[in-house]
Amino acid sequence: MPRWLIVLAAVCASAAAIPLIYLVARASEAGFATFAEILMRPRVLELAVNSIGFALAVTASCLALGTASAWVLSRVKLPGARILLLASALPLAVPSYLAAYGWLVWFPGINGFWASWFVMTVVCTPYVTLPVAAALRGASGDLESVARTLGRGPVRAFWAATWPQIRPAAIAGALLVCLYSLSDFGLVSMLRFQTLTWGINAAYGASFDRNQAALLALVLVVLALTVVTAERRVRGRSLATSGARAPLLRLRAARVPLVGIVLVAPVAGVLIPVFGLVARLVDAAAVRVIDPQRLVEALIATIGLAAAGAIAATLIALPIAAFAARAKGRLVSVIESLGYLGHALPGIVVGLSLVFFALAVVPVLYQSVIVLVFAYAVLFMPKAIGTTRSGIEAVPDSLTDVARTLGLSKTASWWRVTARLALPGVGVSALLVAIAVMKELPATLLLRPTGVSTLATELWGRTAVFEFGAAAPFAAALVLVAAVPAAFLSGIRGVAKEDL
Amino acid sequence: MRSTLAFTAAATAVLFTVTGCATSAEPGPDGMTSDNSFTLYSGRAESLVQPLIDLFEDETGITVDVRYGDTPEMGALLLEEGDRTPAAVFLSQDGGALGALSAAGLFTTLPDDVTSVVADGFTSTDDTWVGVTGRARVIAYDSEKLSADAVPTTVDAFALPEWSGRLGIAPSNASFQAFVTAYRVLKGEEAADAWVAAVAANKPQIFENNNAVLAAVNDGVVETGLLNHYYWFRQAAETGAENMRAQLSYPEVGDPGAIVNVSGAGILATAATDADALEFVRFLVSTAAQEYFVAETFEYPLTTGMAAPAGLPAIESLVNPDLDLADLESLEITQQLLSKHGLI
Amino acid sequence: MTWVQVDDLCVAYGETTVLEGIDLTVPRGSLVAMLGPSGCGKTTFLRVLAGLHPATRGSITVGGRTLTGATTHIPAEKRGIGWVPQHAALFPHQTVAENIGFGLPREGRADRIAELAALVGMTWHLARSPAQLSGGQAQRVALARALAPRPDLILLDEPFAALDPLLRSALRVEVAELLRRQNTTSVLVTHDQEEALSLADYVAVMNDGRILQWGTPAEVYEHPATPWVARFVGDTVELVGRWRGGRVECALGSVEAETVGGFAPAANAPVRVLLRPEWLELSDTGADAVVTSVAYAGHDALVEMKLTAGEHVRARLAAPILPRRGDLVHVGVRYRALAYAL
Repeated sequence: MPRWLIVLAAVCASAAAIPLIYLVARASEAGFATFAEILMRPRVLELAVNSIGFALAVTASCLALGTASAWVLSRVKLPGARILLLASALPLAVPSYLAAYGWLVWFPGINGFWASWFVMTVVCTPYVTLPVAAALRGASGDLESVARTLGRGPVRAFWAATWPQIRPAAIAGALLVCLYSLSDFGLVSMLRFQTLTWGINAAYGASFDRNQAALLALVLVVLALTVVTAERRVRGRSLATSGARAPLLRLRAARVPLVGIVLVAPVAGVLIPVFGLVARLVDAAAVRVIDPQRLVEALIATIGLAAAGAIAATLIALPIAAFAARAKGRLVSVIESLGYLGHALPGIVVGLSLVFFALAVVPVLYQSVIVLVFAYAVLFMPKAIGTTRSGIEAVPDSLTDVARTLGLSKTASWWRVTARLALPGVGVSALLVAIAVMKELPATLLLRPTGVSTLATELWGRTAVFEFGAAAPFAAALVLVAAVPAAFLSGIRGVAKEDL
Repeated sequence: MRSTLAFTAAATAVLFTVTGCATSAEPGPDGMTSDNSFTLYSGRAESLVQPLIDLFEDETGITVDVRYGDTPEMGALLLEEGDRTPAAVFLSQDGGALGALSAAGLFTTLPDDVTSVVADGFTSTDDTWVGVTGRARVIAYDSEKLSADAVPTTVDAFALPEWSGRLGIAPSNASFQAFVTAYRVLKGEEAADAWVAAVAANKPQIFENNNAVLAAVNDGVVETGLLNHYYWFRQAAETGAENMRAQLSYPEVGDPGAIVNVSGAGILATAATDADALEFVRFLVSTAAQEYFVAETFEYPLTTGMAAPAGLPAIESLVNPDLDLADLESLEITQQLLSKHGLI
Repeated sequence: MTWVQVDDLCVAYGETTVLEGIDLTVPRGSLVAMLGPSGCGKTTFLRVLAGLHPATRGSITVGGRTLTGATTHIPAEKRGIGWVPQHAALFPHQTVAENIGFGLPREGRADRIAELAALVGMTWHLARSPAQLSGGQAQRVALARALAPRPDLILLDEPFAALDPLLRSALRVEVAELLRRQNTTSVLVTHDQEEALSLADYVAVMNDGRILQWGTPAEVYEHPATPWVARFVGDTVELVGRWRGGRVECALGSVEAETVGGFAPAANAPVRVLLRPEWLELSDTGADAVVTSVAYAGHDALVEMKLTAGEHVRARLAAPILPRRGDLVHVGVRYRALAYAL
């Protein structure tokens, strides 16, 4: 482990700690007495319980649905398998607030825990489905067959033999789901389930009490750190296995229910909401002319920011991931956990913390694209850390050893062998971040250069005043443009036809 | 793509020319300076105010750089920026945000000719900001489930058990809190406490904002909702008034449910000598701008002598001039009250 | 005594037939090798036996118990059939001991693990993780794991293919010996004819989803049912000749011959004459030939010769007394030839 890597990882992780520093500064302004008083409020307790219950429920259901979908996609011979695989990735392209909105068009009465749980589950399931499907494609099917011949039924054999092989991928996906559920505000506010983020927004919005908002956000931080620590405990390392892939099952009779499992997320997370938006568009009596120039400008800004955010986030995540992949111990836990922080905080908190930071440190760059892109990196670094880390973990040490015997320095062999082989993992990270940036709203509103609009901000500006007709093209463009990286993420390019 | 680039280049060139000419401006006799541009933070939506800003730019030649956002976020942003803010003017959706910024000492005092045109009760008490438009608190009801005469004429009715589960509110929203503050001021703390307790016990449906309350009433999810009138007109403009399932009922004269919430504008202390910013705020309370709001956003004009939009009750019948819509301390008491009964 | 009985077993994927009418009888305690080129369906056959893959038609009976039948499909976990896959497939998250004990009931598990570890010589590696084992050790653990629940039948899917040649031959002898000592009935899938002939009690030669021949290694080698089987099972020398009732007239002269599988050519009819290179010898009375090449293998050599009639033949001749390239020799036949239809 080169020393410079540790230092670099620590520096990158400290970028993610900016919101934490900000929150501590704000919270300490309030003083300990206020802190204790606010924490003891039954309302805060209720919100915290709601947040925890919601995040756990969504994580559990995403794990179950995502693993089941991934199993069907990679183990069963299905007609149109490639299209199903693509469809399973598409919910990623739909912002959670848009999904909630689309559901409300059809079922205006739905609200509360179960509605939020369901819609959040279907939009988040791809975070589990995609990595697990990839892991299953790489997993040896022989193990499961052996377990069967040794007396385990199909489910128990899967659990005993295959689950350990895909567990790191599933748990990493579940972590993203869990943190996202903790930090999301758009969906729970539309579906009226009051979580801590609701409380944080209310503190900013009605009382302009930044200190109270900071205290609530700190509660969220504690929850997130608990989750990240727990994930580190249960994750385990991916274990190399060799052997034949499990042959595809030909379950003709069960095809319909099995395809049904795979389709739950794309239908409920994409089709129903998108048709809801279309319905509202058709309803609109006041047809507004689409301003193609604004649409194109917003599209270009969105793509540009997504690309820049993806590059920035992966670059900052790379040292942290490299360090976490190869080292163990307390320092690693601290550095990696810090890296995940941004993802657990609502965008408004991260946005305000960077306003604070930029004005204090680099006022020249305030309201420039640079600070905005940096904010994206802080927010979405966690999406990059996990996949990059597993990519690096998968590179056998023997390869770098060989490189060193061939005369490369430690650093050079890391760069030329490990980094190169981990590139697909890094690419997946970049795509995940790009999608998240495209959908991001609160931090963009706070930090964008004055006059710059993304598809998400344009969408927000129109739905806020009921202009659904005018909003629809931006919503459509957003979903379509985010579907492109989602399609790449589905892995259909990497999976040969005969493998499906 | 090419045309976009060309456009951007042209726009940049124009911008440079404008600012280049303008920077030579000297401080005027009143100590004010002008560079023919300023930055506006707008907590009101672009489609509502941009046409008005375009009009201002055309008339004055002053360039307005507008940053749009939700009022709460813009307020939080301005508080965070403090004296480093690039903004000269803040246009707010509600009085609460203006009061918070005023209390933080971020606003400069506006000249008399700006503040005097708006009647007391619709603007700041210390001249740090000025009211621009008014939105009446109304009761929206589901016209398929309720006839117009079955809708309560006073918000006190919602404290009765028969309205259990039939009311939608957005208690964390500034407009609702302003209304509860009005209730406290008008009816006294005890009555307010009893009302909030009874409403909370009635298990109202909780929404995040006025938009969501209206959508729920319009979709038949909840029978009645408390909100600002103008959301209804916004949606009616989009989907057609004849398609609106939700209808509005105005509480009787003197009812605390019949107050007016205001949107307003203030000049940041950092732009105290910015003549362009002042000109803009002055423009907002001009007849032209007030007429624009009446016609385009269906809001009450606040300058004296202007008529309300057609079909709305006269503003005089709704107003309560004893209120300070931006009184932070009073707002805090309201929030404690709501918090005590578990509504926020 | 018949232990495994397979009748008319068919497996099809839609239009594609993978196994067609497989009949097989395995006596108790014997080791049967399924020999065939890759893609012939032999691995599918194993998976169907194990219950990991459904059969389209046919029946499988082991020890009198019907595992697969017209209406029966006992799932893999209830079959009592052990399986040793090609790459050992040890559970990477478990130790060697846990792997061996995977299929055992809690009661008596430790004793049985120790017993099997001793049997395969892994006693001192029980606490290791699979990643720390060599290829041969991993296969021993996989075998122990499959044997542990005392299965009625053990299936071995090319278990030695991934090992290096020296280890391969040592380990396969050891495994065959061990299986016999345990009196275990086993089916071994392989594409290596030497492995099949040297280990198995019976060999089934498969191609294109069918069993072409079933018999002892000697029967399969010396009486191949078809020229294809002959070529797949070993090296051949092929000539064209005429049938003269118990002899054939060919470039090597008049050679004693027999037909296979009821082939009854008319007198003087042209037939394909097939010999093994080791059935040829250098003799004073044989046909005249010139040595064109000598491939020396230590214990013997493959000597290629051109007959005066123009045909090339190869003879496997015992070392060390060997002709050299260019030598004039006489080639005779020391074993009866086989005659097939042309």
